[in-house]
Order: sequence, then C-alpha cells, then structure tokens
Amino acid sequence: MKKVKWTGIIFFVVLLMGCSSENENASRDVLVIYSPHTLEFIDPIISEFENETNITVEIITGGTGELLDRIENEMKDPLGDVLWGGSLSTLESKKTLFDKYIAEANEVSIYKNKDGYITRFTLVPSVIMVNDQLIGDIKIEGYEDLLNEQLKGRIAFADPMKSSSSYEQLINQLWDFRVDSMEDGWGYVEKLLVNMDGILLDSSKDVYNGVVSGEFFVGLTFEDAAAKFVRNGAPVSIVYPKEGTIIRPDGVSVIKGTKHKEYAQQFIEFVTSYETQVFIVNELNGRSIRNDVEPVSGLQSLATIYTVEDDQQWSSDNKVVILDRFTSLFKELYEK
Amino acid sequence: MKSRDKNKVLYRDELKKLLIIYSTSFIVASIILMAAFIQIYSNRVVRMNNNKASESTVNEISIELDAYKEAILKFEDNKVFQEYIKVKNNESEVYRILYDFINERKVKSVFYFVDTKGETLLTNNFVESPYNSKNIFLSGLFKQLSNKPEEVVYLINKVQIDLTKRTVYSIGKSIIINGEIVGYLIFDILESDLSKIIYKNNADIVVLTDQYNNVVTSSNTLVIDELGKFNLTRYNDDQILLNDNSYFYVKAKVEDGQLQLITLSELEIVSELMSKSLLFMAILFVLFTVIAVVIADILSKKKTEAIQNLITAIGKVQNGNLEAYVKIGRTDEFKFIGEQFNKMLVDVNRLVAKNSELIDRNRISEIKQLESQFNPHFIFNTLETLKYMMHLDADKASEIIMNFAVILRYSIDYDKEDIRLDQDLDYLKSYLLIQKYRYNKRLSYTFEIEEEAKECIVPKLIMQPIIENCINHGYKKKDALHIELSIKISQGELVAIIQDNGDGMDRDKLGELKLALEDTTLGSGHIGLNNVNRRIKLTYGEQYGLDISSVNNKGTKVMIRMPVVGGDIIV
Repeated sequence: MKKVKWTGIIFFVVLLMGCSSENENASRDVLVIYSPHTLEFIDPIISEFENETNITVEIITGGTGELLDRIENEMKDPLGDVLWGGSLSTLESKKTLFDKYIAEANEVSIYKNKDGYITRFTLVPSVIMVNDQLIGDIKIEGYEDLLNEQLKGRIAFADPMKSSSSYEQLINQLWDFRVDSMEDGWGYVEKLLVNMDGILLDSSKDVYNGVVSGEFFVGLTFEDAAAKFVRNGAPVSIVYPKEGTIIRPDGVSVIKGTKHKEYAQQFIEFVTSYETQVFIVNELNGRSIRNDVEPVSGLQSLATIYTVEDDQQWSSDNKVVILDRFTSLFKELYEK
Repeated sequence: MKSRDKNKVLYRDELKKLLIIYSTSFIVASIILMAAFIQIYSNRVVRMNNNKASESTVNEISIELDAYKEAILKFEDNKVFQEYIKVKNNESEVYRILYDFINERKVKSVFYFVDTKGETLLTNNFVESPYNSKNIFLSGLFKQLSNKPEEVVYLINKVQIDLTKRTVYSIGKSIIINGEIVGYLIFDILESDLSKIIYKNNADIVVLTDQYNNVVTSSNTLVIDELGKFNLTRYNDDQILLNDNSYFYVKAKVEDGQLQLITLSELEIVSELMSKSLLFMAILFVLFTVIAVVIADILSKKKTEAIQNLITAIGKVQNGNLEAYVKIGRTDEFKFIGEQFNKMLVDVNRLVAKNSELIDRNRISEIKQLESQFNPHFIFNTLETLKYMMHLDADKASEIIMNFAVILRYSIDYDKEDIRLDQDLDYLKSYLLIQKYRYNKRLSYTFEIEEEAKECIVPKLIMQPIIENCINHGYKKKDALHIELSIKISQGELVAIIQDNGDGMDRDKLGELKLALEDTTLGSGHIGLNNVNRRIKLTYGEQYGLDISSVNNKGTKVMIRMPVVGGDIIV
C-alpha cells in the first residue's frame, strides 16, 4: 500500500511540474524613448547613441498626441524615459509631464529652452509635398493653390489632434490667412476641409507615404520627411508655402518620474551635440538647432524661404481651443 | 485470515479482481477511444484546414491577378492612354489612372510602360528602371511579350528595387493600337504584398510557384533548392518529407495553371499532440489503475467483511470452539445470516450440554443400579433375615426369596429405561416387603395409587432411591418408621408423594439439600435424590422434578412431579 501511495504522489508531482511555467522577471535596464520621428530618422541616431554610451534603447513610435496621452496615463508609474520629437507648441501645452533640464547646447541654440522643460532639437518648417507625376499642370506654390477643385479628395492631411506636424500646419494656415483676426484664417481652413473631401489621416506617416504611393497629389507635412523622399529619387517635390512658412523647433524632453534620469539627460546631450546635429543635417535632411552647424545644400536655404513668425505663446496656450474648433468644423462638414 | 488451502479462491479476491477488471477496462476503453478520436479528428482537421487555407489563398491571389489582367486589357482601349501614346501629352492623367488602379489593389505593384525601343516612359519606380535598354528584348519578359503580342504574359521576374523593395512576378502585355505594337505595359508585383497574403495563410508553409515549380515567393526558404525551385520528394499521395517531418500537402492551380499554390501543414503537430496526449493518458491510466486497485481493495474488504467474519467463526467452530459468536454491524442479509448463525450456536451449545449431562446421569443411574444389584448390605441383610425366618416360618421365608428374586430380575433387566408405573411399583413392593421382614413392626407403609396413574410410563427406579433414603436415615432417633406413598394425576401432572415420619431435617439442612438437588455437576453428596431430580428434569423439562419439604423430628415429604405419559414411550 505504501508503495502505491508513493507512486501516486510521484505522478502528481510530475504532472504539476509539467504545468508550471518558467517565470522570467528580468529587471529592465533600458532607456525607453517615445518618438513620433520616422524610423529612418530614428534608427541611425539610436544606433550611434547605443554604441557610444552602452545604453540599450527601446523605441516606441506613434503620433505626438498619442504618445503624450500615453505619458499622461502612465504618470503614476512612467514606462517611458524620454519624449523625442513633437513640435514645440504641442509639447509646451503639456510641459507638466516633463522634468526640467537645460542641455549644454542651449548656449549655441538658435531657439533657447526658455521654459526649462523642452530642449529644442531641430528646426522644422511646415511644407507642402507634391507628387510630380500626378500633379500635371496644376500649379502648387502655396496654401491658396490647395483650394483648386482638381485636388478635391487628393490632399493628404493628418488629424492635428494626433499629429503635431499637422497642428503646426494648421497654425501656419491660420497665421498666413489672418488679416484682421483669426476668423479670416478659419475661413481658409474651412475651404481647405471642403476640398479634402472628408479625408483626414491618422498620422503624419500616412501623409508622406500617401503622396509617394500616388494616393494623394499633395500632402501637408514637415520638411525632413518630404526631403527624405526627394533625396531617394521619388517623384515628389517640396513647396514652401508662398503665404509664409513658420519654422518651428521640435523638442526633446525627460519624462517626469523616469527611473533612468541620467540616461535620459545623456540622450538629450547626445542628440543636441555638434556631431549628431551635423549628422542630422548631412544624412537625415534635418535643419540643425545649433548656430555652429552649417546648413547643407540639399535643402532650400532659409534665406530664400519666405518665413513668418507666429505668436508662439498663443499657439501653445490656445491649443485645446484651436483643436476643438478644427474638430467641430470637420464634424460639421462631414458628419451630417 | 489465513486460508488453509492455497488453491482455494477467496470471494473477496474475486470481487477485487472483478472490480479492478471492470474499472480498468472502462479506463482502457475510454483512453483508446479518445486516442482514436484525437488521431482521426486532428488528422482530419489538419487536412481540412490545409485545404481551406489553400482555397482561400488561391482565391485571394486570383482576384488580384485577374484584376491586373483586366486592367491591362482595359488600358489598351483607354482613350487617354491612346492619346498619350500618340502625342505624349497629358502624362499626369495617365499617371493618375495607373496610380489609382494600383492604390485600389491589395497586392500592389510597380508599373512600367516601355516603348518599342526599350525605354521606360512611365513608372512609379523612382529608382533606375530595369527596363531601359534595347537588350531587354533579347530574352526574358520582353522577348515573351513581343513574341506573344496578343496574350497577357505571366512570368517570374525578380527585380530588387531598393534595399527593402523587391518585385517577383510580372504581368504584362504588348499594347497594340491600330494593329501596331506601340509599347509594353508591365505590372511587377511587390513581393511584400504577396508575402502578406501568403503569411496570412494558416498552413505551416505556403509556396507560390510558376508551372515549372520555380518559386515566386514562399513563407519558408527551406523548401527552395539551389535553382530556386520547389523540389521535394513526394513519398505519398498527399504527404511530403521535409527536415524529417512529414507534411500534408496540397497543390492548387492559380490563373489557369500559370501559378501553383502549394500549402504544407505539418503532420508532426498531430503526432506530437498524439504522443503528448498518449503520455498524458498513460499517466492517467496508471493513476486511475492505482486508484482503482486501492479502491477495489478497500471495497472488497469492506463488502466481504461479514463473510470473512462468518468464515472465521465457522473455522473456529470446526476446531471445536463453540463460543465463536459473530458480530456483524450491518443491516443487510449478512446480519440475518449472522444472527441465525449465533442462534444456531446457542442451540448447539445447549443441546451439547444437555446431551452430555443426560449421558452422565444415565451412566450414574446405571452405576447406582448396579450398586443396588450388588448392594452387599442389602443382600447380607436379606440373607440374615432368611436364615432365621426359615426356622420360624418357612412360608414367609419362601415369600422373601420370591421377592428377592423379583428384585434381582428387575435389576438385571437392562433393556428398559422407562416402564409402566405399576411394574415399577411391583418392584418397589418387593423391595419394601423384604425390608418389612427385616424391620418387622418397626417399618410400616401404605400405598395409595390412582388407577389411571398406574398406566403411566415413568423412568425406571424413580422412587426406590427415595424410599431407600427414608429407610437409611429414618431410624437414627426413632424406632418405627411409616412411609406413605401416594400417586395421582393432578392438573395434568403425575404427582407422587413419599411421606415418612422419620427424623426430618432442620431448615439449614433442608436448604442444603434443596440446593444439592439443583446441582448439575455430578459430584453432589446426595447422589440418590439429585440423580432422580436431574433425570426427571432432563427427560421431561425444567418445570418437573423433585420437591422436598421437611419438619425436624416429624418427617420428610418428597413430591415427584412428572408429565402424564401414557402408552407411548418417551425417550
């Protein structure tokens, strides 16, 4: 009887062992970076950073709005350490999500870190991207040209709620068409929405990819995304709106409550360093934030672009109101 | 508990065996059925899933390729396109048509319009076009296109566009306007989009080949040989061996056999599932069997406990232990059997005790009888009496001799245990007569016998020991003794009263005597009385027997109570 009992027990143990699973609980020692940049932009910079600092990086990409929501939701126990990218006006409206940090490069920066939270990273002009094969003889020189009937439903524009580059486009339009008040600007935006024929994309990625794949004739996006395709030989060109182009810096910030504060600050120093900024200008079609980095011939020189200066404080402060108005305008037109 | 005979089969063991056989056969049966079910079902499922997967992918690819084919044929008749070819204007219009078509497709492609000189005029490939030379007509796609201008040409044609983009298959046709070839329209299918369809397939490995087994795209590069062909040894109708694993295999035609879709589903998974589940079942079987054996053991023991008890008791009884009562704490048939067994034991015990006592009593009675036969005192006394009686009265002497002879004859007669009362009385009278001659006037007696009572059957020598007792003890303080014997039937009983006027007994002595009367052991001092009493009780039952009453110095009265037994002899 005893033997029988023991055999029984042994069988149970064997069964139980078969069921138990290995429980891996590796401690996380990687720098987690949230970024709306394109992978083509991210990859070489991160590789360089990893090789130089021996810090392993995990990248999570998404639209700026999406990533900010995520950071806000994770505020109690942050999973991300750095937000890398997003236009200044978008980041400024959410600066409470970040830690204060002033990078060394602030000294030579064209745009200084005035608030203390957002380190300016590169200069990002808002541009119109055109598919040359499809545009034919339609003339595109500025925002006004986008109201052409022939472009109906062929304009790629992302939801400014989700994409910070789209929000910059929207600010740019409002600012360019303002005569007496912002209402003039909204008048243009409404006409543009009508010509978009109800198509509002989910991210800036859909904008430039949509233009390259021929789905759209034109797209409203940021300069370095479009420049990448021009450089690769795609039949696209960049148009700086003749009504005036706002050049906005994008930012990089340490997420509040990060467990890897030192790594995060190291990263900010790295991306604003002279070497990295030169690399961005030479290889990634970016415009450096540093006044000691020479611009490259690949992009149109800032001197020849008609740039306008907006009231940046207004753009950041009124973000919620502007986005609400845009959303309700879109709904009014298309959700009846 | 030990069975004395090794060959004997215990009911308990049989019951246990039966339980184990039943339960394990059920377990085995269900495990076999289960295994068979898993085998058949999973095999079927793998096959069915593979067929379904093949079908849906073939459908999906066909829809896309058909769309390309139709589009190419439509383009030939497209006015905008024809005008562009003629005068080379409105290029963007043509581009819009081409882009819109491709953007509607799930499987996207790179389009090329190449003129007859081998120059690419229209393309969405923004890297260097591969079709920009006169030499393209010497072989491959363009040779086929120019050789078969009326047909839509399908061909494997792998072109690396850039680091991440590759086209693997071309669909194209010569564009003929007014009977003249003006150029060639080609759609080069993107590998990534074809792969998406193929990877979506549920089969383990999916391979798309042309009719010559050249692989267009595949979800697993292991199935492609050095020549880029799908080439595996088929060893069964629908099975293929790859890396020592066998796969279920389905080949389906796409686009009238221009392409073949091969789906492979691993059968290893089935056999692995089988072996895993068989192992599990084996463990289950062992476990269940162990449990079944334990339960069978416990159950059979519990269920046969009563039988075991009975058998043990019977064994003890066989060995002579009549006190082996059983205790059965159950309420079923076994309880009844146990109770009956116990009752039987009680009866047997009582009978055995009764018989052995009866045998002893009879033996003693016989000894007494023999004693009386040769009682030297009695014989001596009688002979002494005879001696002087012969001188005094010859007649009386002769009478004594006669009676003495009666006594001797009666005592010699061993055959009869029971006898008619009057016969026994004859003997008694003879005895008393002899005593009378001896004691003369000092002994007197009267008989008072009912006529009916004389017919009764009584045990032999039942009253003689009492009368002898009277005579033996009656002359200690007195000179004369009178004995009255009365026998009658009263209230259905035969009652004999022997009353003397002898010495009698005091209360203590009487009590002692009464106690001795009931003594069932054989060592009593009052053998005569006790013997009579026990013989009556043993023969007729406890309610019968002797009753003695006595008054000191006045006499003793002995009452014998027996049932009335007439005619038939009671044993």
